[in-house]
Amino acid sequence: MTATVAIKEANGAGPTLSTITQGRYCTTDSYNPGDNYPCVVPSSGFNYSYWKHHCLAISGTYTRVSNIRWYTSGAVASNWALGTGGMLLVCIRDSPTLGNGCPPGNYDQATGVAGTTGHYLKDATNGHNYYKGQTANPANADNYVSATPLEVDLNTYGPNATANSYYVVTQVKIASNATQGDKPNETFTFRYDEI
Amino acid sequence: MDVDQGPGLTPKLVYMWAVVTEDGNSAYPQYNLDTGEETSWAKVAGLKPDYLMWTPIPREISHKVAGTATLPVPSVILELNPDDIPVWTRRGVYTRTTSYVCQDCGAVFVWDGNCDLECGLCGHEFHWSPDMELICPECKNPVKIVYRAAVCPKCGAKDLWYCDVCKEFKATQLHLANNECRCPDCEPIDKHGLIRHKKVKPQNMDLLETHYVLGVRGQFEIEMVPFDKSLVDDISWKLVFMGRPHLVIEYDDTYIEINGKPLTLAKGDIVTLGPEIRAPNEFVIKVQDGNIRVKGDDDGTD
Repeated sequence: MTATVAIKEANGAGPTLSTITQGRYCTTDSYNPGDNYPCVVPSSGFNYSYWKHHCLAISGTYTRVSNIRWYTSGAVASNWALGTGGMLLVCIRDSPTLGNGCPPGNYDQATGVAGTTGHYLKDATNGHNYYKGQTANPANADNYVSATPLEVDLNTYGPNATANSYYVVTQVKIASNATQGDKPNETFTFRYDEI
Repeated sequence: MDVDQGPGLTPKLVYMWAVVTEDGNSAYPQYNLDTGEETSWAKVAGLKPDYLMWTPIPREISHKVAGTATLPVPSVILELNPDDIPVWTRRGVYTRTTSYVCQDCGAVFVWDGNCDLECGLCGHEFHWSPDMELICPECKNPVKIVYRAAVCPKCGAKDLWYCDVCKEFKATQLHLANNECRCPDCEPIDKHGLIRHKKVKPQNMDLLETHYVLGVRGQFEIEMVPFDKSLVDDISWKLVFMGRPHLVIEYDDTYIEINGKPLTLAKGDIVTLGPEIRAPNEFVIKVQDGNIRVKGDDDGTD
């Protein structure tokens, strides 16, 4: 048999994990705020979306799932016209022995000024507790493509365990010359080994 | 707390593994051909195989075992030397693509960001796509995109903006950097925001594929995929097993030999499996009795 997998997003203080069929980066802690809380182009400097936690939810009858990785199209910043210095940020660790992802126990709820900007992932005071103390800054997600995926979670799951992988933590960084409006479609991929 | 809005995706297997040992006299298939009972990999992992096979799931199994399917695909057999450490796994590739749904006609579409633009200097109107430079084709000056909107390619629907002062929808709007959208006709008199009517909404499209990987550690790795999606992976060759099995060349200046004849191929070239194909110092692959046989290239010559 094979594992059943889904992508879940964690929100709220709990957190609550939702198997999402819709979702967008926004300026509140919600996987889908409808038309509300859009990301805002700043008059200067950068604004940020609230950061997001996404994981691979594994269940069913299977032997072993391992080597969970994540990558993008490599063109998110340009496709989404995020402006000079704008990009999709993804968190990384200085010593990713078990992967760059955030363990479920280290989840940190996204915060910010609702409707305007999220707190930067590495903000010294309000940043993500699992990453703000790292030397490494959040990386440009466009660096992680199918040839060079991000190692998210190097744990081994199974047999038959119902589990959520480490989170990929991402955040949109928006420059003052970003383009407003709808964003072209993008593809994000989780890849894992199973036997 | 988990909130399930869907059970997730479970891929259908079209291949099962089989381990052959002791000079080909003992075979351990993933599924018992009579009962459909699955043998766990842990029970065979310690064996010293002569061959590892990805073999198509027979009809007797797909009728018994949920999540399997029988397709006309060839077996792929990896021949191992005594010192070879095999690389052998299934690889799940879960792809999430954002898309748009038209609220008028129901079309689901992927939008690349193309839009109609008007040059702010000369007024020339033109259609722009992301593979173009942001330059007016008429006066050659840079053009700035203030606002982009997804448009349904089937019925042309796009978000509408309504002014409740003018009591009409506005074909043009004033988009400000702080996300305000104001009525251009009301602007000189009374700055007034427009009401957005969503015609195009985002949604996700998920796809889960199972790829089958085989190789010899430190020598080569081949990822078997159902369809070519022109992915580039610098650690493995790509073998497409649906339709007529073939290798897809991933990089320019790839050197191989077909029946001993040297060839230098370009990215995107297709090599149909059949004759003996040698990737020097990596592997030799050929079709024999309808099966694809792969072994490490130990000749050591280029």
